[in-house]
Amino acid sequence: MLAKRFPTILPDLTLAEALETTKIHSVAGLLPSNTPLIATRPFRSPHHTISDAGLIGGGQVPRPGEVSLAHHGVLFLDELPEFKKNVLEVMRQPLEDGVVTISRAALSLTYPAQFMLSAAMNPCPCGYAKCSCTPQQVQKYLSRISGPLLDRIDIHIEVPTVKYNELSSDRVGENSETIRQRVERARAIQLQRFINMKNIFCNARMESKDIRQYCKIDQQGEDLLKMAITKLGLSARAYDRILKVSRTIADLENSIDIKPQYISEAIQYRSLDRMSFY
Amino acid sequence: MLAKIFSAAVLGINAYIVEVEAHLESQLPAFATVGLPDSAVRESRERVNAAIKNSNLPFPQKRITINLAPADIKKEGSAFDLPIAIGILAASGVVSQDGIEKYVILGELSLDGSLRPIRGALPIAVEISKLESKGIVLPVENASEAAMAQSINVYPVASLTEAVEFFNDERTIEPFQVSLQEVFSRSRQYHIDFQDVPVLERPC
Repeated sequence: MLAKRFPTILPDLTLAEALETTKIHSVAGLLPSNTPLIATRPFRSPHHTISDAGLIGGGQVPRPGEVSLAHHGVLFLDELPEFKKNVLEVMRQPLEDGVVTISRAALSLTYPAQFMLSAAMNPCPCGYAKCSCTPQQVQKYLSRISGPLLDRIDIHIEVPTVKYNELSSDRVGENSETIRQRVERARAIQLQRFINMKNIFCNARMESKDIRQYCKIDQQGEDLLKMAITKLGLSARAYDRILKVSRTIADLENSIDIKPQYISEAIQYRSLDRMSFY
Repeated sequence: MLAKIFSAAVLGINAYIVEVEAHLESQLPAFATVGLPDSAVRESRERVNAAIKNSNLPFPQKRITINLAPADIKKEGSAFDLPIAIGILAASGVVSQDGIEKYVILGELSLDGSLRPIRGALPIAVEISKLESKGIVLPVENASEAAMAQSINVYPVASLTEAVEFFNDERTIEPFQVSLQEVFSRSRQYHIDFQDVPVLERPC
């Protein structure tokens, strides 16, 4: 329910992006005849029995897979540990490069695949609040997702069970429009920041050297980060990601500096890295 | 007796022009397709044969050779049915050779001669809009999609008969036009909202 609404808070597609996404759907033969243009960000949620060819594309003459169909949109993998391991691992290169190159005997093709990966999983195989799983079972379940893949996911967040009074309450949350305006404001700041750079238009696309340039932190923040990296045993990739996320939190708060509290919030979003050290 | 038709195919998300050449020879009736066709393209001869006959048009009792150029790229899909059919009819003099000049033709044929939608109409239309052409002739279902490319004339046809009449100047078809900006702004709405999600207290 939450994931499905994710595209609604992302900045609107530009016309060029809409045409590019439509082209991919057109090639795959998935364009409904009454929709000549895909003007909203696509949301793809393949079933966990999907094959690697189905996910990144394949066939004798390779057709686009789910990662390309989710181009400029959201790819949602529900029940992440249930996916076949090799299927999840093939996603690494497109996640990093934004394109996927499929080589077959006859020819090799490149499809665009700039998507936002979103995934959901249970904390343990049983999935109940009153869990009866053994630590080994939990460990086995969690280890189905490899470290390198987890590293590439910026934000991990635990969603607690909904309490009865929350379910029955009439309180309504923020609407998508309000949230999207906030996102667009932050994106505007980022667009301004990378105005002289080609290919970079938001924080997520920063490379290591850009991170060093644009994500300067003070002494207090540095101490915090050092402690997190050493105590939690986080990887170099996680370090970059924490800085990127804290830069984005600062942008959302309209703050020029990355304050220590933003860094601690970003560290908190790596809860699955920490889980293995329970 | 030779006819040349322009068609197109997709490679990745880009398209390239395919020349469909049809040659008729007075020999024992046969039908050969060359130029690296895959099985869907090779099967098109059965559809083309039935569609021409069921449209009450004469199918030449000759040796037919179809060449899909460039001959070194594997051709796949069923979009060459219509250009092959038009090629055969042009080579046998049923369709005017002047009429088909500078049109790009695409479409899958049904046995009764009606047209079915194809894949990749948008990338093909975008590619053709860069070239000098009179326009693209394709199945009705793909018209609005191809029209998104703008700056290109899109002629939707519903059947082989309609296409033949169009090329012989016996039928006028208005270019299909649609405003890209209008479609873009109209279809930007989402039908779901974050408001529908139950409000959770922030986990801490």
